[in-house]
Amino acid sequence: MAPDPRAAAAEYERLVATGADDAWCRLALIKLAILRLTVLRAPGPLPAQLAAVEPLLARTADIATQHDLHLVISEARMNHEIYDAITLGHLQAALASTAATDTTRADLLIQVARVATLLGNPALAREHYQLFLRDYPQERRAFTVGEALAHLGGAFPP
Amino acid sequence: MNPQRRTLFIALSLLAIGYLASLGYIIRQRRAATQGPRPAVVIRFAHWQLESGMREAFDLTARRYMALHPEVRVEQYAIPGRVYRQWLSTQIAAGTVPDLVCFNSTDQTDVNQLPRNFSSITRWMNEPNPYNAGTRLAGVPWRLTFLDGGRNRTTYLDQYRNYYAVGLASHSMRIFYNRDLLRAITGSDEPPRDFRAWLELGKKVRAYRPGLVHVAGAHENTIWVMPTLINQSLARWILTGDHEQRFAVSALDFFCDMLEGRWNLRTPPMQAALRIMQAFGGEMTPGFLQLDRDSAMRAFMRGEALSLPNGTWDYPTMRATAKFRIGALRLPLPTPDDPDYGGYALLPVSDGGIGTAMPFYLSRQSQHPEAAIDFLHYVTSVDGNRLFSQASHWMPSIIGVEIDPELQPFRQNNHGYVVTDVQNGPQLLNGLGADGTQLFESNLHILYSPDGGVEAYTRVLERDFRATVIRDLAKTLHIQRENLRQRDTALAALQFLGPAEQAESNRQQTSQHLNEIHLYLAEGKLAAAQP
Repeated sequence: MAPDPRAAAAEYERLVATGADDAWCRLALIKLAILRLTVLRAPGPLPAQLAAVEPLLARTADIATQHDLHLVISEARMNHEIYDAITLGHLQAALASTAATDTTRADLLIQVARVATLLGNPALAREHYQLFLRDYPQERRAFTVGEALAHLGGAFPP
Repeated sequence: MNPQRRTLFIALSLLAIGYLASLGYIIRQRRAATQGPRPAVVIRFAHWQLESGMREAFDLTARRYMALHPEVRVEQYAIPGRVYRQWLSTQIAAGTVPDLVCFNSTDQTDVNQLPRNFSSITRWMNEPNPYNAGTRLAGVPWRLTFLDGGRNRTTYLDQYRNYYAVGLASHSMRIFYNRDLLRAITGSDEPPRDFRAWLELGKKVRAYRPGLVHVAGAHENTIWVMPTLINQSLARWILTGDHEQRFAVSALDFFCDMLEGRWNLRTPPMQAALRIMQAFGGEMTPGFLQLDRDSAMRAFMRGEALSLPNGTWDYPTMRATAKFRIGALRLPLPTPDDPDYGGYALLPVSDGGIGTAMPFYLSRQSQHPEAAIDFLHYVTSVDGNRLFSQASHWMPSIIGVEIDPELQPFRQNNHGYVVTDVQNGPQLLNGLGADGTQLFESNLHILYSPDGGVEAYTRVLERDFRATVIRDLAKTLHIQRENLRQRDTALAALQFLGPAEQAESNRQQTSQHLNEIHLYLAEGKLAAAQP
């Protein structure tokens, strides 16, 4: 059976419309966001297509669901190489609700630092690179992060 | 009885005695194994490490563990590497997979299918290893006790954001060389420091003695060394594919960029990569693609070649048989100003692409997952890993476990850049999947033939390159979609069990969502690339 994203989205929308905010609705909300960020994008230019997903964040009060929504939105934006304040905001929001043991945390610390660097915010970048080095000193990217930190004022890689 | 008959009689008698002795030995071993009270739990583990001393090291570690846990019996299955995959497939199909399985593959299709047969061990990795109580690693999450933080391309599947295995040892890839011969040729023990100087050494080697080879080459060694050499030589360029700003580029990123027209085989870094491959192969034994690693090892040991690219796993064997002093150098990389090969490396470079080795996975069929993990806890504790390392002469995988002084020169150097993703980093020779690997490997002879070269190899590859990448990507995404579909159901079911299962489901849902969005984004690029 061939995948039918439109039919899937319709089912997800029906679930979300119930406003139950239970496990199924939360799951449907994220899956709906994923479809709207990828195969079922709204019409218009790319930034508008991606922005159309933002209102889904207000459809749940569940922190874990909001975390995952921030995460998929920021991933989609970065995959399209949109490194702006909105992307940074989603990354920071996702990081704020990420557990210390979560395997995505190391990535998020680097992502926040790198997007902050691209946006000309070295202080924010420094803070997150330092957090990474403190919490993941053995991680394979530790040397790269250390060098990025050392070259915050200039081009990287040097 | 005539002499011929007498000889035959003696031979048959000896054969019969040998047979009976073997039979008696096996029966005695079986009895010894089954005598005494039947243990409550039997943990079986399988691997293909048949190097000298490895089975004994495993046995020693298992015996020490069983002394701590008389209720458990640990059984070792040492299966020859040549039949290991077939053996494992048969066990999976029969439902008789050992609890713990050593497995490694650079084939992305195999990697994608790992979660079907092996369980995620993330929840254990976040807890301390109980056998580290009273040591410097007491209270430290298990994952952080490994030299690489538990994350390398075999132990942590980035696609699933989960840990699946732990490495029992660590290795590094080095070019081992004959120190005595190097001194005789150059007047010094000092090996060359960069790729150009290394090529110059090759000229001296050939001039020193007719027939002397710079590098003992073999098909396997080429396949191990070349992707690492290329990745390290191109790291600066590869990093341009890191669109999601992780300092880690995956094969999916890399080859999707190719489909989007961001690079092709004629892009300058790719041409530099092919030139490096050609130059590297030019230093090897003529016809090396037809040779196996054993013949390369023999040539090195007999002094017919100055050096041998190899992993440290073979060092104990080399050390035992060599009649010369053995040295080792890291892969020589092009300098930034090298006009033919340089400009695309990020120096210094890390050995981090290798990480810990000999990964053991927890079978989904295991009847005793907690006990199996407990055994892994022991082998990867400070004490257990020291015991295993000393017995096997392989380098340890755990922080703080002393490396044998003799192995110190080979210890991993992680003080450098590494930009390829932990699990599915782009590897030119391995491609995105089996078709890409076959395309590169089956045409390699063109790169090295007298009437071939980089241009000829490029021309042959580019005929099928795009179609091959599309085929491999389609297969990879299909498997990912199937895995997602299966996990969706399992994760939803966990939501309706206890609080611990709900928490685990929530945690895994995050990675599931990330995988799903990456899958659809890649499918979009694949659809756009297809005619």
